Amino acid sequence: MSNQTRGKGSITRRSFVGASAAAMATLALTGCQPETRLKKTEEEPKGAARDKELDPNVEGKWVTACCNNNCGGMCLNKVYVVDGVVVRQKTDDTTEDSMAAPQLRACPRGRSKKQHTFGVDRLKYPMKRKNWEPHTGGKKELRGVDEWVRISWDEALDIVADELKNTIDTHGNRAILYPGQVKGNITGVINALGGAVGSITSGSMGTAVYHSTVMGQPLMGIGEQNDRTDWVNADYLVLYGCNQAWASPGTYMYYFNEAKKAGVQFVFVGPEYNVTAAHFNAKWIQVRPGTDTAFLLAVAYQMFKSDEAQKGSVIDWDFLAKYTVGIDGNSMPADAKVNENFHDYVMGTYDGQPKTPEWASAISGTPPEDIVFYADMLKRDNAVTTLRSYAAFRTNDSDDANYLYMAVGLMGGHLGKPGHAIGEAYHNCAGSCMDTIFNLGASGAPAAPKNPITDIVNDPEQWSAILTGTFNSRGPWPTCPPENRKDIDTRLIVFTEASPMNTLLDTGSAIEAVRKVDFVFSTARSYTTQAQYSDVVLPVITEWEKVGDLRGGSVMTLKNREALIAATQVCEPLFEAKSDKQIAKELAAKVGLNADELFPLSDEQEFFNMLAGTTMKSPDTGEFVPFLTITDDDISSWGVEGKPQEGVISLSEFLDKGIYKVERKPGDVYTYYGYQDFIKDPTANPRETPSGKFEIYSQTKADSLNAAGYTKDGFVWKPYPTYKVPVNGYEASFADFANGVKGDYPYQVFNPHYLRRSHTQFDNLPYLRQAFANPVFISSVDAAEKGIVDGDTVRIWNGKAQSLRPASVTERLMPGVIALPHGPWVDVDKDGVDRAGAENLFTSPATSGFGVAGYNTNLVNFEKYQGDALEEDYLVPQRIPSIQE
Amino acid sequence: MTQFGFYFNQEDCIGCRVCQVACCDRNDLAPGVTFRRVESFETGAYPTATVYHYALTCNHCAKPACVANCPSGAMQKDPDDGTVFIDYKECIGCGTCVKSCPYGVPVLQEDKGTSGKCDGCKAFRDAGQNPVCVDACVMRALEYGDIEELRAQHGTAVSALPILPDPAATDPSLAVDPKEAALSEQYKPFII
Repeated sequence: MSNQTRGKGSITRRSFVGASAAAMATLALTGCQPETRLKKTEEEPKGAARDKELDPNVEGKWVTACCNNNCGGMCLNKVYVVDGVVVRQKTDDTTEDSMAAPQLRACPRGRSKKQHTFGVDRLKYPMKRKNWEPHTGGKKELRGVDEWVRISWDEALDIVADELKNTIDTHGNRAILYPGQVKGNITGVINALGGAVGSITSGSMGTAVYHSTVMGQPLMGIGEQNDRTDWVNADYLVLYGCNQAWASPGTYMYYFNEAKKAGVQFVFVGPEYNVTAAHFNAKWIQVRPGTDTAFLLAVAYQMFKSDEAQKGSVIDWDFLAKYTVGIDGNSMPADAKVNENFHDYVMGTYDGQPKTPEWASAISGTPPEDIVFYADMLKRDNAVTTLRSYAAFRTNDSDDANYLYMAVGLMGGHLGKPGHAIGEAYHNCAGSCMDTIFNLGASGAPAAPKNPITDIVNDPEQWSAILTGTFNSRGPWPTCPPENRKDIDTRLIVFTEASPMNTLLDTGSAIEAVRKVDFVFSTARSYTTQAQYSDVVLPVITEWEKVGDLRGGSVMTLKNREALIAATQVCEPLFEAKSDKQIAKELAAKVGLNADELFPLSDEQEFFNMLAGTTMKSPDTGEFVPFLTITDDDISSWGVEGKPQEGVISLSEFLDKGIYKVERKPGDVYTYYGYQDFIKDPTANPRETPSGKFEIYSQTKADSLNAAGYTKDGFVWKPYPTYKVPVNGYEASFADFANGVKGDYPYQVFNPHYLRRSHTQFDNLPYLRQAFANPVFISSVDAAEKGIVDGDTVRIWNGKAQSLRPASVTERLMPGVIALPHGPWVDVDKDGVDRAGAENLFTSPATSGFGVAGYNTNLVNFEKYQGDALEEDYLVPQRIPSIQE
Repeated sequence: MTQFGFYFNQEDCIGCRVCQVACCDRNDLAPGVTFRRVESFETGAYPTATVYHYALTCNHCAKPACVANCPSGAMQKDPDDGTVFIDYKECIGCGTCVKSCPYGVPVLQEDKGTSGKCDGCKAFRDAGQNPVCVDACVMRALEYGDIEELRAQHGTAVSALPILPDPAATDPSLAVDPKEAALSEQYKPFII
């Protein structure tokens, strides 16, 4: 890569201008020591570990460090700090370990975070692109490959302020874009200047983002399942596409393990028998990516047939009548416009095709006997807990999958009682539920100025909007308004606190779009893809350099239901990095806004307010009570405004331990069953649907999908769930599906969340790069056909891009499907070949239905690579920009 | 003589490699160097295959080949607990231990000019704490202590597995509760 020097752990003093001496020495993480301790170090033998936390002669302290990975783990991360530098990490040892209140032990991502704050690749000062010119961008084609010039904060913010003003004056605020829901205080400042075109995304939740609430589930379908103490009561626990071991590591696998040990039979649904499924010895129900609608229709068919044969022993008809509408012609909702129903569709009344296991199997690849097994499992007398991730829903045209996923569980009456649930095990909500135990206090900071621009681009269209000048302006998330196409002329892109180029669809178009506009700026901690392709980069501090936080990060609310963690400051801001809030404040002043009005409170005051306002559900009464005891002394020593209060634990003890956990036992005041109030009294506690019940038939759904303008193939959505051939799905991998003739891109690719990183975060950390090779996973059947063995470098390509990755050949993947892990930082070489395996180079922005970002419905081809083999990722030097000082 | 060693509950291991990372952190290891590493293996054939993991480190053998072959006398057994450790003052970094160990445990540390390997976090144990890997494990699958006591506590534990060399060679102080799949002779390494 022409724009980067590749540091390899050996750092020079010159490269660390601005660092404190102590920080500089340990940043290399290869055994360098703070200079103040060199005498001590030299006395120790050369190969031995230096355990400063055990050394009474070394002054240091353990600090609770923010673990803000966007994974949902929310574990306890502690770091030993000597002279402002972290020399060692540990995890939860604050309490004895028990299932009632387990130690919240951190995963390898959390245990590597020393390398995030103190890595050799930290960005140290503001920089501008060498061939950038004001207002035009200069040589814009060099974005991503240009060299850099170090600049002062004053110059950097002058440039950003001038570019914002010039864009607004010349082209208006609609010429500014916030792609990929970029966040933070800086967008607040731009909003105060008139705003920008925003963006929304179906993101991780796919089609379920919209259809959850339409059907009668909570927002995003999250939170209405039984709490983790109930899992042992299930006969069957279905993990529908879940992979906690990789996606949300930490304590969730440990929780699930209790159910395994209690003898619960696990069932896993998905295209790969993943490490989580294998750990629980789950029964594998194979379903190709994006074919869940076909699979679940056949499950429903089989349940109807078995129930007929076994005279009501499978389906709980009374339950369906009480809590749902639309299962058949006898339960149509009042707003129905179509005189057709789900049962009759499944039986083939309307299209002559009964949705039999054999019919589905030809699409989903599921052996028919496994569809029969799944239907039999769901019969009313079994206790079945079905938990989903959103992998199956991050697919094109899976708009009906959410209705079906829930419907087949509802048919068995599996809701609202011990052992029975239909919910999700996703992010921080695995075994957690919407019944919170801790409610965090507000920071007291004024709400960020609202964006006055009402135009919102759907993220699959965000790059084509720039490239083509037209887009469909959507309503606020997560609605599905009628199509509303508009013109757009984007001139300035804002990249703050998000990674839209890498994590969202179509990275190739992202690069092209970024090279088209007049100005691009980013905040970054290391040389991310967004930083690489910007004109001006503003170095921002990590969470460890902030005063403290209860939320697990500035932008994500990551709560562990049964514990509250208080992160406190690990070290002062390193180098010239500043907080997002401080940058916003200084930018506000530059553009003539009243910075003190926008940001009136100190960081300490905001943290204090959050702490003071936090409440906890009392284990005795179930009522929320103040959590912290705060004294006058606390208030004066913090130097903040506040009032003393009585709570459950003192402020100092809480911050000292960094964590407060509740002990759980089955049946305690925190025990929760999904939808328990609705199940108890559906009239008094209706769902938020026109009928007040779960809508298997939803007129709202059909009307909105048919008006949204995204479905381009003439398909008409029915109010009840039906099968639609998905855009870029399995069928599209054939040139001639009926005759089994494969097309140019005959392999389906999906993107598993990967333990080396959290989305794109932490993919730069050496410990993780060494532990996880980031291969492409290939079925042994396909590998044999192509003469590929483990470790071979493989070239993956489609019409958009090509990437190289080492092969990991597996017996646990359906033939015809490859898995390319989510989130590596795109690394396009001079020949246009990506060497990182950036999965979104292959994802198509072609959307359908409600406008989903279909990450798991894409097509590629692959072959054994004939060129030089790839080096292992951990041997590739870290990304450090080439900077003129 | 008391002999310490590791107990590993393979049935509970999810292959997350946090023990490996925590060990790298504790020992300030350079890229490419690990004192504990997790490897994954597949058994069976599609569609009934499965995967299991093995967390490998020093077995603190009763008859350690590394100690027997060390030319400088740096590799030793602790007289109190039988732990095999390197006296780094004496280590010349010749790599003989690396070649001798049938488990492939000791590694050359080019940045430090010595070999390196697990000493069961002796400094931590002397301070009354567990080795870092034990307290790092999110599944509570690792224990460290008197290997005979650990074997008594975990009656089904073994020290021989198809993926491991014959324990007769060095008499490893190792107790593993194997995952059923790990008993299969038909296995292949799985790249994660």
